[in-house]
Amino acid sequence: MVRTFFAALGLALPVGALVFLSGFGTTLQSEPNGEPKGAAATSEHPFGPGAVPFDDFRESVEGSSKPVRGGRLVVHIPSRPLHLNHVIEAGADARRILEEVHARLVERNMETWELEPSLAESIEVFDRLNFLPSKGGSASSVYGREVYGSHAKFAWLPIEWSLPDDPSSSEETPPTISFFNDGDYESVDSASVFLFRLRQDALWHDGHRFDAGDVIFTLDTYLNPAVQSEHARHLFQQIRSYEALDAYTVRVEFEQSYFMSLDIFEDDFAILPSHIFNLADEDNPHFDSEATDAERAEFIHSNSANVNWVGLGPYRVTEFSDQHIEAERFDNYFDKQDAGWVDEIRWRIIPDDNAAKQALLAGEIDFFGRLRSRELLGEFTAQEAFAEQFDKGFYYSPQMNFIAWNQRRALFRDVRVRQALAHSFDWQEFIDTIGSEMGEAVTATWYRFSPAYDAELERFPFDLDRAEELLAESGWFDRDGDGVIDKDGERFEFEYLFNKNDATMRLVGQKLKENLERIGIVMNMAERDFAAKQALVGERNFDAAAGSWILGPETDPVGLWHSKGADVERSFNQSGYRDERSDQLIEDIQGELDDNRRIPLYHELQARIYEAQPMMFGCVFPVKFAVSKRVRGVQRFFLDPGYSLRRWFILPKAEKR
Amino acid sequence: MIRFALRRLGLLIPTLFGISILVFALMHLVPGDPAALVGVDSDGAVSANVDASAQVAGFRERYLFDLPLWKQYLHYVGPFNLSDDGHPWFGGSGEDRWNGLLALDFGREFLRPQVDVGSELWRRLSITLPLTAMALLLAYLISIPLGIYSAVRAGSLFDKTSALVVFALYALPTFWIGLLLQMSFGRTGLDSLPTLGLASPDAMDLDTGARVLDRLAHLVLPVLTYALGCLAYLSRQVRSGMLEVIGAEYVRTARAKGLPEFNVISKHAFRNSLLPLITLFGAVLPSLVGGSIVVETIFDIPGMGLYVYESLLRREYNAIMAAVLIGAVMTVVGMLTSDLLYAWLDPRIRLEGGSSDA
Repeated sequence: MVRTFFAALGLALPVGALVFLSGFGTTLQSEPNGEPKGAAATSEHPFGPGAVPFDDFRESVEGSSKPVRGGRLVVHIPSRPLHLNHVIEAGADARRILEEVHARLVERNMETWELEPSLAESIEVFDRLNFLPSKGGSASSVYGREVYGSHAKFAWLPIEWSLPDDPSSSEETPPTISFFNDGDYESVDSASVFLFRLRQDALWHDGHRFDAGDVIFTLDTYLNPAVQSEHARHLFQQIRSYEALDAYTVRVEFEQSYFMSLDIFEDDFAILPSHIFNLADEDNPHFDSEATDAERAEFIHSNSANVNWVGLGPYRVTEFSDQHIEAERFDNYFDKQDAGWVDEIRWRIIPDDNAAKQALLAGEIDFFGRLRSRELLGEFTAQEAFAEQFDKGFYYSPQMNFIAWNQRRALFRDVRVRQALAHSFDWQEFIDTIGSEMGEAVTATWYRFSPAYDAELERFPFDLDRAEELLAESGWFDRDGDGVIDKDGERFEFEYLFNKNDATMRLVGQKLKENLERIGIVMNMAERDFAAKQALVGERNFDAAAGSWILGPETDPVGLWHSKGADVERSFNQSGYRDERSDQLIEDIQGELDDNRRIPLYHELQARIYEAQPMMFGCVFPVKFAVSKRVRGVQRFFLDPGYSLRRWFILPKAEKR
Repeated sequence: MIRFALRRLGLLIPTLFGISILVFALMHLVPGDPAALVGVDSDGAVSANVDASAQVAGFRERYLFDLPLWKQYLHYVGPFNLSDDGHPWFGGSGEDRWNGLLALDFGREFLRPQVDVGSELWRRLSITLPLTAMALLLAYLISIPLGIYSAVRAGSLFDKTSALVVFALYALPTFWIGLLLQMSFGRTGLDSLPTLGLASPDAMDLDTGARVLDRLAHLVLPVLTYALGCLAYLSRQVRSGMLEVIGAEYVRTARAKGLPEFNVISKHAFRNSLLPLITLFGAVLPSLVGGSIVVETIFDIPGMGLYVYESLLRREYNAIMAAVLIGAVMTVVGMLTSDLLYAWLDPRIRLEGGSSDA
C-alpha cells in the first residue's frame, strides 16, 4: 500500500506541479468592479455540481445585468434563530444568516461543490508514516506534504520530509523522494495533519485582527465539556492535537485519516472571536486567567454577542430583533472580489407562511422560499400583485424524508415484511399529485444529486400483490378472516409516529394507511409535537416513525447506518440497522480520501441498505421560491442554502426601499 | 376589607406553591427534551451529522434532568443550588449557593442560554399588555352600550340583528377574522393599514410623532381581531344582566318617580347589572398577560402568547414555569379585585370575617 502511495506521489508530482502552477481554470473569478462570480454554463447533471447561470429561471430579464452597489435586500426566514453562535447551536436558520455575516477557514464553492481556502489562505496537508520502533531510528513518524493552493483543489508540491515536531520547518529543501523498505513502517495515515496558514488581513467586525488565537480558542471551546456543543464535539474529538505555530499558522493533527477531516472546518466550525468570548484572553474586558472550564462555558452561553454577533463575513450584524435581523456591508471584509453588492441585508422573520405571503404581495419582502407546488404553478403566482413584482423558481437542497421501521420490534424484523411495506406506497404518484410532479423519489439517505448517489438503483415498484406475496412468505396472512393479517395469534397492527407540523408526512401516512388496509395491515396514526416525537424515537419507543434529514453534499454514513449506533439511545440509527458488510463499507468510505474511489463504495452501501429496507426511503422536494424582479444576480445552487446573497444586486431604477 | 384583602393575598403563597408543584410535575411528565431541538430546522428536519445522543446526555447533566424530580423541583424553587457549584449541603462546591425562585431567579432558557427568563417575560409583557388592554377596553366600550340597548329594546329588530352579528363573529375562528382583515386592509385590499408587526421595520428612523402614528396604525388590526372575538360574550352578559334588573321593582319605582329614562337605566338598572361583568373581570386579568397565540402568530407580534407557545414546543421548562406562575398570580389578584369591586358596588355584600364571599 505504501509503495503504491509513493508511486502515486511520484507520478502526481510533475502533473500536479503543472496544474498548481497554471491553477484550475474552471472557477471564474470576478474582476474588481466587473462581472460577479459564476457564469452561464451547463453541468453534467442539471442539479449536481457545475457552473450555475444567473437569473436563468426568469421568463424575461429586463435591465442591465451589470451589478451595481447599493440598496437593501429583504429576505424572508421562517423562524427566529435562537442566536448566531453556531458553536452552541446547530439550527439551519442561523447557519443561513452566518453565510453572509461570518467566514470560515474553508468555504465550499457552491458551483463546484469543492472546498476552497478562505480564512485559511492555504492549507497544507501532511501524510504521516509511522515507523516500527523495532527498526530503530529516532523518528517514529515522518510527514509528506501536499497543498491546497488558492483556487486549485489539490496540487502536489515537492515532497519534503521533516521531523514530526515541526513539519513546517523545511520550506526550501530541494525535492527528494525517499523510499523505505517493507517492514520499516506500519502504515501511512494520509491527510492526518493539516497546516492552516491564515490570512493576515482578516478583521473582526469590531476592527480586532483575526489570528490563530481565535482558531485555537474555538477548538478549545468545542472540546470544553462544560460548553453546550455536544452536537458537534464528536467531530473535533477526532483531533489528536492542535497548536498555533505562530500568530497565523495553526497545526491540527487527526488521530487517523478521515475523508471529511477538512469538511468539519467548513460547516461545523464556527470561529469565535477570542477577544469577546474567551475569559483567558487579555484583550477581553472580562479577562480572568483563573476561570474554570465551567465559568468559561457560562461566559460563552450567556454572552450578549451570541445575538449581537461580531463576525468576519462581508456583512456586519447591526440589529437582532424579534422582527428582523439586519446587517450592513462591512467595508473591511478581506475578499474584495466577493464582498457583496447590496448595502444592507434584512432577514425578515415571519413564522406564519400566510402572513409572510401577505408581506410578499405587499412588496415588503424580496425573497420568499416557502411557496407550495400548487402556488408555484397556480393562482397565487398568477395574480397580478405577484406577477408584477416577482419571478418564481425552484432549487433542490440536500434533504430527504423517510419512515423508519423499528427493527427492534418483532413486527419489522423480517426483511420480507419491510420490502412488502416498500411495495405498498407509490411515491411517484405522491410526487405527481401532492408535489405537482416536482420531486424525486430516492433510494438512499445521501443527497440525490451528489456523485455518491446511485440513480440507477431501481426502486421497489408500487405493487400491492407483490406485497401480499412477500407477507404470506413470511407467514403473515389472514387466518381468522377478520380482514387483518396475522401470525402466531398477533394481528399486523402498528403505530405511525409523525410530527404534527409535518404536513407532507401526514399526507404520506394517510395514503399509506389506505394502501395497507387493502392488504390487511392496520396502521394507526400517532401525531406528536416534535420534541415528544423525538423523545419517543430516541428511546426507541415506536413502531414506525416519519422524519426528514438535512444532509450535506456528502454526509458520513456512520451516524445513520453503522451498527455501533444501533443500540445507542437517541443515535440516528433509528431503525437499529446492522450489517457487517455495511459496517466495513462505511469504514472504508471514512478512510478513502480519493473522491472517485469512494463512489463505488457508496453505491454498494446504497444497494445493501435499500435491499434491507430499514426505512421506507421517501423523496426530495425542491424549494419553491419567489424573488423580486428588482433583484438580479440570482443563482440557484443545489446545496443549502440554495443561494448566495452577496452576489445579488438591486436594479438602480427600482430602488425604492 | 383590608383584613380580607390581606388574608386573600396570604393565601396566594400556598396556592402558588401548589400550582408550581403541579405544573413542574406535569411539564416533566410530557415526553421530550429541549436538547432534541438542537440542529433542527423550522420544519422539523434534523441535521444528520449532529450527535443527538451526546447532545441530550450533555443537556441532561448540565441542567440536572437526571436527578429525581423532587430534587429538580427543590433546585428550581431554591434557594439552595443543587448543581456541582451549588450549596455544600447538597454536595456542591459552595461557589454559587443561592439561586432558584425564592432568590427571585426564574433561570435562563436552555436553547438560548443568553436569555434570562425574567427579563424576557418582562419584555414580552410590555408588548402584550398594551395590546390586550386596548382590545379589552374596546370590547367593553362596544359591548356595554350594545348589551344595554339590546336589553332595553329586547325582542326588537335591532336586538335580533345585533345578536346575529355578534354570534356570527363569535363563531368565526379568530385566525380567519385576522386573515380576512389583513386581506381587506392590506396590500391586496384597501392598502390602508399595515398587516404585520407592531411597527414598521424602519420605525426607528421616524420622528416621535410619526412613530406614534405608525405604532397606532399597526395596532388597529390586531386590536380589532382580538376585540371582535370577545364582543359576543361580553355584550350578551350585559344584556342578560340588564334584562334581570330591568323588570325589577326598584326600576319600576324609579320610572314611577318620573326620572328620565337615561337616569333609570344608567343609575338604577345598569349599576345593578354590573355584577356578572365584575365576575368576568377575574378572568380578564390573566388574559391580559396571557395574550393570544393566534393573534400574535397572524400579525407577527412577539408577545406572551407566542412566547409561551414556543416555549412549550421547545420544552423550555423555566419559561413555562415562570409564565404559569405569573398567570396564577394574575388570576388570584383578578379574583381578589372582583371581590373588592363587588363590595364597592353592592354595600349588602360584606367581606368581613370571610362569611360573605359572594
